[in-house]
Amino acid sequence: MKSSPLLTVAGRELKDTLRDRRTLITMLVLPVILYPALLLGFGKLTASRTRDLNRTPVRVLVRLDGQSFSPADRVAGDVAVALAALPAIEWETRTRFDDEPAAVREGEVDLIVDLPSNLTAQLAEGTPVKIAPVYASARDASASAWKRVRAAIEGARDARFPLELAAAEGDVSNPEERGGQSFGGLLAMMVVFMAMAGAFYPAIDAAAGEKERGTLETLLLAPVGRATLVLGKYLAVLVVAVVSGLVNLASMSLTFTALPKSFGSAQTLSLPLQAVPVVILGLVLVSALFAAVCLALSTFARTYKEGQAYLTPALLVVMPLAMVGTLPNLQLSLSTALVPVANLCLLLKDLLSGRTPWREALVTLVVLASLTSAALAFSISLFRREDVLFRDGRSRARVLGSSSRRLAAVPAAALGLAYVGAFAAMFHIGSRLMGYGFIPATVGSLGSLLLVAALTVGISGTEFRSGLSLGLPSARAWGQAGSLGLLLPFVSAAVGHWQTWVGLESQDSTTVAGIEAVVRNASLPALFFATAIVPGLAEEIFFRGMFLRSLGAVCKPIYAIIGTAVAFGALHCDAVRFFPQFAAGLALGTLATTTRSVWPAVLAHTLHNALLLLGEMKPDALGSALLNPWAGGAAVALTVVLFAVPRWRR
Amino acid sequence: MPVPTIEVANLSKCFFDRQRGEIRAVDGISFRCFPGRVFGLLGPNGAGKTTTLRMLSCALKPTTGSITVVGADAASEPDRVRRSLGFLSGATGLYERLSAREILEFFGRLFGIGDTHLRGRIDELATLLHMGDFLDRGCGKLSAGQRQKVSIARTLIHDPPVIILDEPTANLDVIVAREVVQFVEAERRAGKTILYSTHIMSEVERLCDDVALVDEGRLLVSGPLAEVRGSRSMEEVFLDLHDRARGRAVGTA
Repeated sequence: MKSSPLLTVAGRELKDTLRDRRTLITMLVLPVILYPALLLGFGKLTASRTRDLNRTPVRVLVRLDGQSFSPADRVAGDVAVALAALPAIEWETRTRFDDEPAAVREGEVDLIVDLPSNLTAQLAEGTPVKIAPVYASARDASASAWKRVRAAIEGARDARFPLELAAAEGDVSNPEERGGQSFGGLLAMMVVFMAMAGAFYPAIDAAAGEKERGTLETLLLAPVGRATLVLGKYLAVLVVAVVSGLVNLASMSLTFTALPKSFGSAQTLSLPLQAVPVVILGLVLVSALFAAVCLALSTFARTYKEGQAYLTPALLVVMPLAMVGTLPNLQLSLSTALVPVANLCLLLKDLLSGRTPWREALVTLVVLASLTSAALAFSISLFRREDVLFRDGRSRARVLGSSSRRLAAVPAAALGLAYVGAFAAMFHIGSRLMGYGFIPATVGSLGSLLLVAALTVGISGTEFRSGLSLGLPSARAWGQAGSLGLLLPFVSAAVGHWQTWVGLESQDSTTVAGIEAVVRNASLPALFFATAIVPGLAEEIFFRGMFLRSLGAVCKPIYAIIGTAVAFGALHCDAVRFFPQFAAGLALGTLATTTRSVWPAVLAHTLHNALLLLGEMKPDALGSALLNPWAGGAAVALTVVLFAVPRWRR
Repeated sequence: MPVPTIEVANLSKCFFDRQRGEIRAVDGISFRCFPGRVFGLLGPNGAGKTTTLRMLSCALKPTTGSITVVGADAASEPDRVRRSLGFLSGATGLYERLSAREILEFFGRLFGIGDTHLRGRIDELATLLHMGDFLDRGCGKLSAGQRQKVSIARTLIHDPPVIILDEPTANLDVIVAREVVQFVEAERRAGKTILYSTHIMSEVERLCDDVALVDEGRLLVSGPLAEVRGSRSMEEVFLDLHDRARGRAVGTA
């Protein structure tokens, strides 16, 4: 049969496109990952911040006829009862402050409300009552205190009678503070985006573009050190990023200064003169970081287009971090100051609202400066690497294997696609099966992991047994696996608990509540199957079978183990579950590497999950033991010994 | 015996390719070049010529062996070597958004030439290479021949004693190619050392005083042109050596 020229042309184009890494990234990886990740990551974070906000202890002074209210007081009336029932409120005992608006603004007290002691009676009689609180809308704690107290008052009254809550009158935050609070986060986000957009193209042009145009080799002929070359390029990218950011900011503030007035808004968006240096400082800091990061990524790329493909995902990583400033109740603290970009946004928001948290600002500066230096050092090291500078276009990402030879491990590019596929499959299948109950959803979403692993191995032309590490291990490996399975629940529980040190929620507080109801309603064999056997089999064959084997073919075992553990921890897109899974991933990866088989890891993982399940069912006996810090510490030590001893004996 | 300006001893370069494993692009090559002579480095495509020249220009580091250029060791004093070298190859492109003059100024400054001297040098090169018409035009708008002239001027901007030209006449029409050849002859008369890499045998016969033939990274023969050639044409010598080298490789395999 004669083939159609049209299909021949289309076929060649498609083959060419599919062999191109950058198309794969922008066409498949980004859209598949982006939306679930945004929903999971950002949705969870916002919800948890809002939940925290309602639990934040606040200091409130409620005066009943000039006397400070305390829940211990036996004051009759529905309002008092409702107030007394509010959680996380510290009732101020002082009845007066010298300067009440200042006390509220500076956080000495979060809310001052005057109530008539006969409020309930007045409402019952139908007398109009006006209540004007003193609160500061620019402070999250103060705004939350008023929201809670207001809800209590409104909830207790009879809806038929007039009650005027004059919230606006009592707001002691000035327009700048309010603007800083509501627009500060937004402005910080804009600054970050502008810096990123400004650094994006010049960085690609300076390194990848220079390689593509063939001028890099000419430049390398000059008697100039590589560090000088990189720093010169960096300076140029930085200047462009800062200037473009400044032009953007100037145009934006000129445009929006007029806006609030014409809309009659009580907030101002105009940058007060004293805020200008703050914003410029932020712009310079974030441009310095992005210029360095973009330059490093661009140096790695062979061509301008490849540079774009590397930088676009970086932009998507930065986006959610930049949006952190707009989240409710997230303040710059010593732990948030450790998160790059987010720390700068929170700092800018604080500075724009007139607060200067010196300690946190210093940490932010140190974090940003170290990252910038690290990225620059990386660029310089890349500029000294011949394989990076003289990369030619011949080595293509191999996704589809050749038909003539079966591969021993899945190619790295196919592995990337498999991970994205697994992520999407778990998210979509899991969320759709959720309606049918916990067990079908769990089995379905984890089962899809197995399916993706099998498809990847099949399509990439990899040998099944070696690609998934399905070979049988030695007898001793089973013993090691059993011991690890018994130790691992203590390790992951301990890590889940220790992560509170870095400001994360403890894992036990989030999972227990969710699974409790399921544990009560399902039969034990079904639960064991869904939460121990299926995850043990599916996650291990995917991660310690295929993933680890594939990474192991291109890098040192230690990096393969760490890389696999990171991918394993990140699969659920849940910061709270990351560290426990990462820790378990390290141990399981080491086990699979030393025993050269996935089966011991399957056994250890199944045992681990089974024990955690038992812990949920018997919280008093096993559950509390799992959360015992001493048991956790001992388990970590024993796990290290478990792997160290055979090594040492050899 | 004159002092050699380029001395390459036992030079090797290995690359690692994930699919093909270790590749020995250059394998134990040694040769010497002298002032006032043109040294022809010949070999088929993929023979290891460009890798050898990149090591000479200090862009790549040799796996083993040493390179000395005008008394400076490439491993320990790469910047001194770079100052003594003018290097031109197909991979040394020009900044398209800069004019010829701006490019020459840029590289002149990187080589530490003062502004007054630099202006004089640019005028001198513009006259020598007949570049007056397009000196201030953007390089993106120049013809292949004009671009090659800008590249040659860039190579000579710091007046180096050693000039390395990697296939300088590739993709040029015969008129510009002839100008390039004449320019090489003039530089030889001026006492420069010229390392000329090509696979155009007529140019070899016209220009080179000494030749070295490389194939699959190894040096097959080297010496004065007349000795290497004997009574045969350079093309015959080249093809004969190439066939024998391949035959030997097959025979020993």
